[in-house]
Amino acid sequence: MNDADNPSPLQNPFIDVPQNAARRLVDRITKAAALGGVLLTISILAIIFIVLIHGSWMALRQIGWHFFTTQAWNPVPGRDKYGVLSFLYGTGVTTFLALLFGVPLSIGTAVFITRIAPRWLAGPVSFLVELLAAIPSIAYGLWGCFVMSPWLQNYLEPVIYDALRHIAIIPVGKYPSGRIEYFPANLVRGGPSGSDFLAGGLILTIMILPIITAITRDVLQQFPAEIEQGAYGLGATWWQTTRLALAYCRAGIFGAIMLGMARAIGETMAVIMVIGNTDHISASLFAGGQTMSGVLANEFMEADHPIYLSAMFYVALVLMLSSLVTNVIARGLLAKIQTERKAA
Amino acid sequence: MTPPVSAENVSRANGAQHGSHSAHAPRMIPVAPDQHVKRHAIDIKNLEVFYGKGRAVHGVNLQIAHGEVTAFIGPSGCGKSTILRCLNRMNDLIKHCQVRGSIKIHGADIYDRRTDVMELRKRTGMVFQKPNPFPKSIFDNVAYPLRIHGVRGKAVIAEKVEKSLRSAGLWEEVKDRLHVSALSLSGGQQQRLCIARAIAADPEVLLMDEPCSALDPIATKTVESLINELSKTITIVVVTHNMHQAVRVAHQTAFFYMGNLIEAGPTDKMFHNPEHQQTLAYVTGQFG
Repeated sequence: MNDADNPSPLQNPFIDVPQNAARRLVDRITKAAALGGVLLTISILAIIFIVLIHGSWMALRQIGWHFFTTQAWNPVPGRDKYGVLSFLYGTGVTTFLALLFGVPLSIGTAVFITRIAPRWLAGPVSFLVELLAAIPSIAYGLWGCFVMSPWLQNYLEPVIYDALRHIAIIPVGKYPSGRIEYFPANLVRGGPSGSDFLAGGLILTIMILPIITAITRDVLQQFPAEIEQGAYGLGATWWQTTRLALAYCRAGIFGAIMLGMARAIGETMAVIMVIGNTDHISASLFAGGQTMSGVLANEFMEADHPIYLSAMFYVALVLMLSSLVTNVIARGLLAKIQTERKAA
Repeated sequence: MTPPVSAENVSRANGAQHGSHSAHAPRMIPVAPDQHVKRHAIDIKNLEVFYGKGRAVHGVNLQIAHGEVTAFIGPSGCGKSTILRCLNRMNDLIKHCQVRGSIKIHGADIYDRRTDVMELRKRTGMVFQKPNPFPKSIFDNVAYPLRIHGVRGKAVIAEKVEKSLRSAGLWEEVKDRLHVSALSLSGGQQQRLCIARAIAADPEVLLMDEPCSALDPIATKTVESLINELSKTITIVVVTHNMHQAVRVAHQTAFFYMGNLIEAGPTDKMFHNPEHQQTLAYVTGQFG
């Protein structure tokens, strides 16, 4: 009995159990593998970033901030002039148009799915919207180029053109010719073309619908039944209760919009097939343009001298930073609602 | 508030008594001309409630006196909450829920086809089991029912909000931070905020569905004294699992079991000298 009360280390049954050694080794290996995977992922991000800075170093030093104030893009050796402004503008305008059309559509669809549709309909509608995300962007581009653009040129844009071309309300500037530029007539200057900012915006609208709809639907489903009952119990109507739900979910919906925006900023193929591909800044929705990702896709084969190539890397760097910033903001907002929900 | 009364039932002399009911006040529900002035605030007749094919409430008849506190007691699943939720038609929100029989509030049939449910719910405030403040400021929570029912004017709203918060005994605690989030309040404060919100639009009836079950004993005590205070002006129906609470707050008590109303009467009698053996067994803690 004395031995049992004071076991020597050698007799302690919990020390150095040989039959558990293998299991413990598995633990160690799996943890190490997981850590390795994480480090690899993070280092890929870091490496891409470093490569972009390294590649654009020449342009960063020679062009610097002028990159953001110049709209000319002239890659002819000897006459090199590189500015990202028109591509930044193209990305900005198409993204803005996509959000302008896409956000109300997506939120409306999500409200329909979560708060109007009976269950037998909500499932299929949800599925079909998500299916839009499964279509490859080159397929959107092909459809946009051969179906949507001609349709815009022949049917929709002439109607908009006739409606707006003579409406001159606010003077906003002067054209090089000396004529005064008026809003909203300037939005349709040049007449229907079908390959323009409007087409780029519309194709992006369709492409950002699924992500904004799906996330908005998910956050709306989190709207607590107690709060909904509370609102109905006070005599609120369906729409008043829905507004309360949208307000409750606003951070999540904003996060969804930001993710849609990141998609719109980065999207390439479908847009270059409908936007006209000119380095051009114009208020007209019917003018052709170019986006940052578009110029990279169009010209990466042609960048044959160092400063040209370096300017391309610079565009890629600016593009990556814009996407990164929107993504970080989106994640931050999604995290914020999660902590808010825990607090509540 | 007095019900709308047709002239033939009321003499001129009586008419003065009903003067508080302004001619412009919206009428909740069309009132049949043969409706007499009821002493009862709520009159439930042959109420049956079905969820799908299952029957949750079997032919309940119950009158609830004006300006009194009535407690609904009974074991879980006895139908007491279901009946409470018929009184402001919250059951309309549940699919496959079917209500038969009649419920009159101040003589008006709330299950009339033409009933405006929004108006009904405005006039019958409801407090829920779990405090459910909206993710808005304290002020905006109490102002919410006023705003959704079209009250405009900052001064009017501010005045009503203060009055409601005072009635709910919360004013002194929150008057300096009306514009901070309601979610920053403690559970007991949140529930009193929900009471303030429920009475902001001056309802005639207040329905409370186990209002203290998520609260600690001290917060419970505060809410109970609030119920006593509010009952001076509002008819209150409170569903409770806590029999001692019924004794403390209710003038009358109704005991439900398996969807039937077993017995209703003055609280004192219900707990000391009930008519039915089942009531006695429940109130003495033999089951439930």
